[in-house]
Amino acid sequence: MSLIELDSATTGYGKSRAVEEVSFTIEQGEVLCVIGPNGAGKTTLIRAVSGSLPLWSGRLAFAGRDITGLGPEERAVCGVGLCPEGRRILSSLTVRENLLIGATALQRRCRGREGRRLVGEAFERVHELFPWLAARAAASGGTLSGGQQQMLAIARALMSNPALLLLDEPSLGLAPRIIDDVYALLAKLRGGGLTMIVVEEGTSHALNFADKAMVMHGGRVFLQGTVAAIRDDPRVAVPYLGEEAIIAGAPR
Amino acid sequence: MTNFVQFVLDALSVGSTYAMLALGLTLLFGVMGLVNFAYGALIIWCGYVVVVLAPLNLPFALVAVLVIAAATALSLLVGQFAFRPFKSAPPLTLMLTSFGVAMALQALAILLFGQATRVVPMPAVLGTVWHLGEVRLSVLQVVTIVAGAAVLAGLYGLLQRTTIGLQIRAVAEDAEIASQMGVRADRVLMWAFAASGVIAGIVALLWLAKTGTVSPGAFLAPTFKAFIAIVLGGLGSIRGAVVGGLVLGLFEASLATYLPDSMLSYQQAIAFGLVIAVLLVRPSGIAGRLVEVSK
Amino acid sequence: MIVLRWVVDRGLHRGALAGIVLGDMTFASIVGVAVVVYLGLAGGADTDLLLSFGITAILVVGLQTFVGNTGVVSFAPMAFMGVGAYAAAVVAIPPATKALVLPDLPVVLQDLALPLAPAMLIGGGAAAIVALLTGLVLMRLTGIAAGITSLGVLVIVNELIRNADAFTRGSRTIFGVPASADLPWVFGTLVAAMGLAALLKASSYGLRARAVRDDELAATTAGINPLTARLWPYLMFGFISGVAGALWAHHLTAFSPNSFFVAQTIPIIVMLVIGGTNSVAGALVGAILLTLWLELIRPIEAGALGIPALNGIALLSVGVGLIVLLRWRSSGALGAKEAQFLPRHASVPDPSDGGHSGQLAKEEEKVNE
Repeated sequence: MSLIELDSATTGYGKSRAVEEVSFTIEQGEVLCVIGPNGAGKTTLIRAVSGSLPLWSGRLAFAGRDITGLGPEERAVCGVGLCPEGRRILSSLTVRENLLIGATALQRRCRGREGRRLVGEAFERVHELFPWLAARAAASGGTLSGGQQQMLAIARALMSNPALLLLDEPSLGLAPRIIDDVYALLAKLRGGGLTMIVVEEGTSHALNFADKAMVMHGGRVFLQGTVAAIRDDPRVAVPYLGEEAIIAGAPR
Repeated sequence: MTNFVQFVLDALSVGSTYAMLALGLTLLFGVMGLVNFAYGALIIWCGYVVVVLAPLNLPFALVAVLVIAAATALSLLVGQFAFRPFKSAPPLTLMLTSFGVAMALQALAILLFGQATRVVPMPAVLGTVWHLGEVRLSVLQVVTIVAGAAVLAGLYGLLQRTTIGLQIRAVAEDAEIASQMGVRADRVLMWAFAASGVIAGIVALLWLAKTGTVSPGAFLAPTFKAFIAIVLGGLGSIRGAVVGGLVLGLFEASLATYLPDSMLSYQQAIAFGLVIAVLLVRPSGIAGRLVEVSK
Repeated sequence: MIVLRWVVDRGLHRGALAGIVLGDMTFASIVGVAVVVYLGLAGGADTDLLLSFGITAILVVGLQTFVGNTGVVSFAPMAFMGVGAYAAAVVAIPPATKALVLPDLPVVLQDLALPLAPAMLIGGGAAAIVALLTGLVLMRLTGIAAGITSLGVLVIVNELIRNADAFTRGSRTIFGVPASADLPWVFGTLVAAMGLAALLKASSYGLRARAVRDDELAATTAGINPLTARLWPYLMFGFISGVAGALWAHHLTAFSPNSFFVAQTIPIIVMLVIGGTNSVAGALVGAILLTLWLELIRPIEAGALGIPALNGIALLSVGVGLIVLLRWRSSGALGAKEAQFLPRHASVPDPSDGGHSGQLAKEEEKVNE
């Protein structure tokens, strides 16, 4: 049984469709990267999976359970974690408080003393991955640099022990060296068995990192398959330096 | 020197009331963008609760507890049935909805208690005036200042030291992300209404002790003060609410002391004038973060 | 064929603009005629009520031009109405009475006794001046801050009226205004007001204001100054409200500053919401609906059909009704629709031109909510 299964999902904003008939399947421990030009519907897709945006039609199954009707807070409790576009760190909260909020889903899953113990463990885990977080625990979220915020956003998403981690453009606005660090971290997490969906506009890092890829365009799936297959496909020219994939025949 | 101390005490006690009102409003504004036109209505209903309980001759401590409980319950009721359905509505709709609530609460008061002004019996001890040298200090003033400090401390404790407080702050900043982390927005909303209600109950006791009466139309005065304080200090921040309330209190005390008698009738107008002036110079309020102004 | 139909507010073609203005004015005329017919049948007993209704409707239309086009709520209608009423009273009260009522008036005004029409214009003009002064200062603000400051305008104007004894008789009742506000004047003004409001809405001034309303940043980038964009609707709002005030003065003939405060403001706002904030025709519909409702409920409140008097039930019904309305149909009865006249030869064309895009299309989306 696959961990997550999206079936013919269609949704959008107001009257306009942003995502049309998109389907994918991801096994536990796999990484799917979603690439495509601006406006292809990638972020909308992430929001549909995370629960911010309800589906107009289609189904979403997670660990065998139909979660189509669940709101984002319920999906978080089920095990869906989100590292959103633009980081969205809560700047009025401290670093530690940001992490604590990230643990809300965990606290709801497991209350009382057991819950507090698990939260403590979560902090340890996260501090192991990002030692500097402990040092900056009392700093306000708004005072961190872009790269630090990205790390914090990932750490925050990890606090609730998600089975699936959604990452929306983790390299956005970051210097190349920082992007390398981020992806090194993600590789480490994957080594630990974490399933991920990564949305990126720039392709090289994402494709090097993922198992499967999905190319989107105009709200629809243009191409889907293993990373190797996508790379070899003549219809998609993937520039080496991380620019947008050029899809043959499709208007930019 | 004595005059100055007197002035500070007067300003502080009035300012504390306004600060508390502003705090109660800010909570709701923070979590759902609601400027509650009906906040004053909670206060008049507290007045009616005291009136209703009067014949029972209960000890005042018990009456106070019951009033605060009633205010909390009413706030929760109103929050659950009138405001929760509007959770993601634009601020204008929310404000208009709060009109409807204010009207309904006022109407219910008229239905049950009539239009006439009623006397609200409060313990006489509150009216006692101490004389510390040349300074006149009423018990009520002291209680008000202490209550203000207590409410502020309590709110601070709630927001900074509890899980629900953390969730309230998270939702106030970014409701979407908060729910993505597993926070249940509805629960946060109800806690905000409850806390707002508790504060309303406390302010009601102090306000009623000062005015001594209640009538259905009396909800406007505290609402106006709260609005002015919250906009003056800056919408959406605790600090702003406190600053706004205290500044308004300071301002009113100044007017009462230094304004020539002929101008006294202008008092409320001048208060509004102050707000406008401040907003023009500092659009986000004296201590606020939210900016609602065109460049 | 001349068709009166409800049209969605869209970006407009010049020809459609005229259609909408005429359509709304026709609607108002129809209402006026209905009122006259009703009075003819009912024997004139309700003249007072209907005059009152007519003037209230003008006020709602005035408020609509501001709130509908800028998306900012204002508590100021009664401020402008008050200014208009007092300004009109000062120029219209016959000198003999004036010497009694306003003995300290400057000589140049003492001898003045203008008929209704100029008095209305002066009332409107005075209110418009107040609108200009306050608008230059306040139109930078939106949202809650704007609401609070408009409340401030109401309070400040009220205070000033109370204290300008020489011109207003202070807090005491001013009297002696000739009772020249009759049905033709009131409903004629209503028709004119609706025409003006529709004209503003459909004109580029209205479009600019709504562009700022929908997306201030985008509008600014497109070169629109938010302050001036909001100012025009605000001036129209002031003017219309002032004219309504002048009519009110000539209807009541005696009034005091208490007649123009918060309590009177609420029904106006409620009427606007009921009819639809975005619609001029809606303003009239809202006024009709609430007035009818209150007339229906008044006897129940006073005690009828064996039910004892329930003082407060009218207010309760309006409060609850408002909440329910906002929940289930926050766009009001008419949403953003207007009445539109379609010329004979048209095969019911779509009034929006092909090729409108950007802000106008966005407006379409937004007002369809």
